[in-house]
Amino acid sequence: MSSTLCCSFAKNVTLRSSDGQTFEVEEAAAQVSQTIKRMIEDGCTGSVIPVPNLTGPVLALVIEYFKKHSPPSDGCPTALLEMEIKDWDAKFVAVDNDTLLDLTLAAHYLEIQGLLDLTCHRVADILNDNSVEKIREIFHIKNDFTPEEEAEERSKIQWAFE
Amino acid sequence: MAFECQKGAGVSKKLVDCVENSCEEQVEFSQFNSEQKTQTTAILDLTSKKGSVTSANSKHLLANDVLPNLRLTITDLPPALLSEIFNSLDPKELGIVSCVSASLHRVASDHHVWKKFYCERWGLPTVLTPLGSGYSDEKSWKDLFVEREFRSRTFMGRYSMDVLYGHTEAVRTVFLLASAKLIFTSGYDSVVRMWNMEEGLSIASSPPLGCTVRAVAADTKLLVAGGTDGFIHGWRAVEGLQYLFDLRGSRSKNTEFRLWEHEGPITSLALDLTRIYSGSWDMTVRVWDRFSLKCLKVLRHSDWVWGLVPHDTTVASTSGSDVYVWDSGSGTLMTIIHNAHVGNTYSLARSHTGNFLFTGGEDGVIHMFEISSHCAETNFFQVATWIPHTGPVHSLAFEFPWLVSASSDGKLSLIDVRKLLRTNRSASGTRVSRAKHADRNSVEPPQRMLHGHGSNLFSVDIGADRIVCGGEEGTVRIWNFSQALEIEQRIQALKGIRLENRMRRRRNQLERNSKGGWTDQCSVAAKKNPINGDRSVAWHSKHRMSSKLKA
Repeated sequence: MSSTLCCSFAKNVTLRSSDGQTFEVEEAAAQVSQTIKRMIEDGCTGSVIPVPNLTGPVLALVIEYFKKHSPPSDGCPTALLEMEIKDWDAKFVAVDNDTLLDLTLAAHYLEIQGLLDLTCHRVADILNDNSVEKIREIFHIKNDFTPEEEAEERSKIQWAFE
Repeated sequence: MAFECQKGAGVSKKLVDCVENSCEEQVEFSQFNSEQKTQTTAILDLTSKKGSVTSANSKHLLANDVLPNLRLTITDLPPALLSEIFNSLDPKELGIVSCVSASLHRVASDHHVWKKFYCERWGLPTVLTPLGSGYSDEKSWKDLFVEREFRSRTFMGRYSMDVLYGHTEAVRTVFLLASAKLIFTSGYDSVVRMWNMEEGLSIASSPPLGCTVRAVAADTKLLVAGGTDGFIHGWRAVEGLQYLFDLRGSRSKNTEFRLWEHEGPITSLALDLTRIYSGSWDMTVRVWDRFSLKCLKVLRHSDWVWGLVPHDTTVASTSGSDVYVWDSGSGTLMTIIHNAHVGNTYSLARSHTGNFLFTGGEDGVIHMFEISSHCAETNFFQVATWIPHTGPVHSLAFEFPWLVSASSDGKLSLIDVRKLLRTNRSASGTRVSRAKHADRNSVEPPQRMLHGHGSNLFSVDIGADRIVCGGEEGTVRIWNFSQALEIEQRIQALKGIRLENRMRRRRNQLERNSKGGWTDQCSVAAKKNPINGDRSVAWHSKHRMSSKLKA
């Protein structure tokens, strides 16, 4: 990590969310995000890294994730640690749906593969085993089918409703 | 909720204020779900912890109104991200999601996993329709899948049967080549016959090969038959020939070949893109190169080999009462299931994904096993058991979701394996369809039995809407289910019409009765004696029920 161009004493970077909140975080931890890593490597870490797509609370959560997933200082991660992180991950995404979607988008923008997988699976789990109406309700989705379209679509995949 | 927020407020008042605002908003629409409330609490806790992170900066916080007030819904996610999420859904879930809204429908219907779903179940479609590129290509995979899934019910419907006469002795093997609509059969009379699958007519037959033929396999390029003298006789497809193979051998001989290496009768044959697999009573399975016709590997067993099914880089085989799974490239044994059956394990079938094995034994039992690989280790466990037959199960064939078995008790059983499967998300994000952990001692019932043969059945094969079987009586039977769904529809329509007529008659009757004042009397009687009245109502509704049932 210290091989990056920026000076070695600047171990911390500052991230600024869309609503102007700033967060200080270890550079190594922030590089879990490919986007931030690229920005650091490009040397645009002069003062503050703007993260315009994320609001403060979401960025705070993401930073929490960074901290847990920063590469361990002593090298190889142990199996025990991995288990612990897995448990922590499960708890981390056990949030309400709006936060979950925010996190998914954040993982997408910041290119955090681990978090993206985690949140996508969580969303898939919520979609899983729910009826059409229930999914609409959970995610506040407007039904923009005409009744005819919907009836046709439903009759086509009758087997899915059995 | 507010109380929770107050606790957090000690750490960072302003931040919590922001969060509180958003929380209240969330609570408003999540009243229906108490679980969600606790989730909201959880996030509050998380966020208030964050107070320590931000406490230094919190004074720079702007007013509350900077928190954007728009609520993100799943439809606002970029399509690429939605696609990523849908990756870990199974067909059923994806189908349901596609009914939720038009935008989700677009993403879900165009999704490339439909192709994977299709191929996992049935392999590549036999008749590749000329598809456009890109968009329409992806779309049609869903349509293909939906159509195929719908038609798979056909085996529960009505059938017609063709009986093919020609063999002079018992039929030992049948092979259905659905992509070319051809059926190949052979048996004790040592003649390989080719039939038209749709019309049930004989197309051609080979000269006698000189010994009983117990195995036949084919694709559109190659036809192989295995004799009890230990040879494999092969016919290469002749270009331009309507029925692919020149069985009579009237042309130049260079389209035919014979491989002599087995020292005992050949019981099983299979083809894949590059290889030929043969199993024999000499206790070996041999793997041959299709083009050079050289034997690449000899897999040695401890008993007679009865059946084999290759998949990708592995080949499963049955020998004696055991089941083997080999790495066909290296020739190493991956796992072995000892004593799968009491007596010989005569028959073997495998799913398209390769991880499910079906075995049929001399004991009349059918087992389903799941094979799973972790790192270098291959494990198996028994998923389900069926005992539909009173005699040995000589042959099995699988076409998702149907397993069909043929037994010497003269019956075929049809088994739907769908309810035994579930989709599992592995950590890497790939979907694996797995078996539900069921009580392994329980015996499942078959979904359907097909009677009709009085005698031993030796071989069976299954296509999208047909079952072919052959046995001791020397005939080949095609059970044709291709019209089952249409017949079903016609019956339903007729039923509807009949019901409508009956209702009309009843209405007329009631009208006439009311004119006669009969109903008035009835209602008076009902008032007088409520118990009697109730009873008559109950009787009426029961009567109506039974008439419906009859309809």
